[in-house]
Amino acid sequence: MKTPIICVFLRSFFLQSVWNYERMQNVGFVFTIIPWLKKIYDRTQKFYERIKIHYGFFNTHPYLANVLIGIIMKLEEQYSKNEITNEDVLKTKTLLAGPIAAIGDRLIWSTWRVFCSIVAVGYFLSYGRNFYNEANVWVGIIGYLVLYNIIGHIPIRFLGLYFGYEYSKEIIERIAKFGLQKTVNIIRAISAVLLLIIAVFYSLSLLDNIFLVILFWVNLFLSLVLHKKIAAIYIVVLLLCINALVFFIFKL
Amino acid sequence: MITEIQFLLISLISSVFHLDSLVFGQFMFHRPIVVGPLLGFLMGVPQYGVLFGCILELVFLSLIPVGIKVPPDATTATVVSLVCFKLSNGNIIVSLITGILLGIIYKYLDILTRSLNSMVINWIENAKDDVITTRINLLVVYGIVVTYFRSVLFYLILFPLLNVITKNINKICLITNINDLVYILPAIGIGFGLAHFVEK
Repeated sequence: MKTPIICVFLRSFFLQSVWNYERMQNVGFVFTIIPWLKKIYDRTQKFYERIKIHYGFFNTHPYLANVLIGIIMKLEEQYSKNEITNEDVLKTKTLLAGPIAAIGDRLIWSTWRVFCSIVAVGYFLSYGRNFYNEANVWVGIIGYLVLYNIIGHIPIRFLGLYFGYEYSKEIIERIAKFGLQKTVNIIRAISAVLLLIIAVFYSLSLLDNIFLVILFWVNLFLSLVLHKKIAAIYIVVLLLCINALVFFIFKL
Repeated sequence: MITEIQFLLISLISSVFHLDSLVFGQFMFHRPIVVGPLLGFLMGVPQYGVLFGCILELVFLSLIPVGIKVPPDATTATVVSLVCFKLSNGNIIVSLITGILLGIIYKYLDILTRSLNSMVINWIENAKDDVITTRINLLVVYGIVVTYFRSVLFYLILFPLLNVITKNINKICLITNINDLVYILPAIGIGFGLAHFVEK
């Protein structure tokens, strides 16, 4: 059993390789579970039937997809023993994809990834105004990748697959009991405080030029306020132009 | 100054980072904080790689690929900013603006590829049983190859254009001596980061 599970785990990294608007992650999903289906059905007619059935719409968060893949692996096993129907398998797949995607977007994209980025940027900016000359580049990059992948990403994928298979549909209740929302809130609060600390410490390194300190906080305030009204990318372009103009007027 | 060989090398290496953003793994090798310093080393300006990496990481912090939403491409923004910086002999503002705008353009290239993928997936529908797994494997390879060469081609077309544009911008650009501006740029990203936590 171990070998197919490891194969499924490794293949899950290709989940989004043919992401499309019609069926989204369907190719990646089927590609991922092929070793498992092969183990259950060998290369019988049923094997090819199951591939075609699973080739339909599938979309969820790419890391937490492994939880659902684990559940489907278990259900496929039960289906092959005629303990459940094909409808049970497909219904579970469809019904759980949405909530799992929502958890993943909140937990990974808007919390864990943001937290790791803030830690890495914080490391660089802690060196003050000349951070780009003084900070150790490798500590920053490797620290970021290790923090993100070794503590978050890879364990989530592997344990998600393992526990998804082990507990099947019960895993959702277990995730709910785990107090995920509380964890997310704590990480987000820490991230926000970290950002504020970074801003204060960094602006202190600009103190020898009060013009820069004022401009620093004005920019921070403007980007914070404008963020609600204009898309972030356009604010950057706008602020860059305004800053260049301000510098041009006051400095030259 | 960047030679043709360097252009090719930058295109080939940067495109590997693009694979990480969607088709393989999402290990975050494609984030500006990683791409910036690594590419900076390759181009002989590691310190500016860190600078652009940090600023763009903060700017792209809250842009999240939720559902079918495709955010502007942070990798492209970083690569183009660094190349533009080198070509314009250190014009940070022009480099950042060009990088960010091209990040938005690359997003549409990504959307186009995803739309084309919708046509390709039908290849499985009528496949005979004995070739179905081979075709699925081939589709995965197709996804990787298309994403990689799409990026290579994008950069190979873009870099010579940037070369011409930056030369002309340097001729007409009045704002040249504003290097101190670099010090306040992290403020914009920090503001976005805080907004990300205030809103949700």
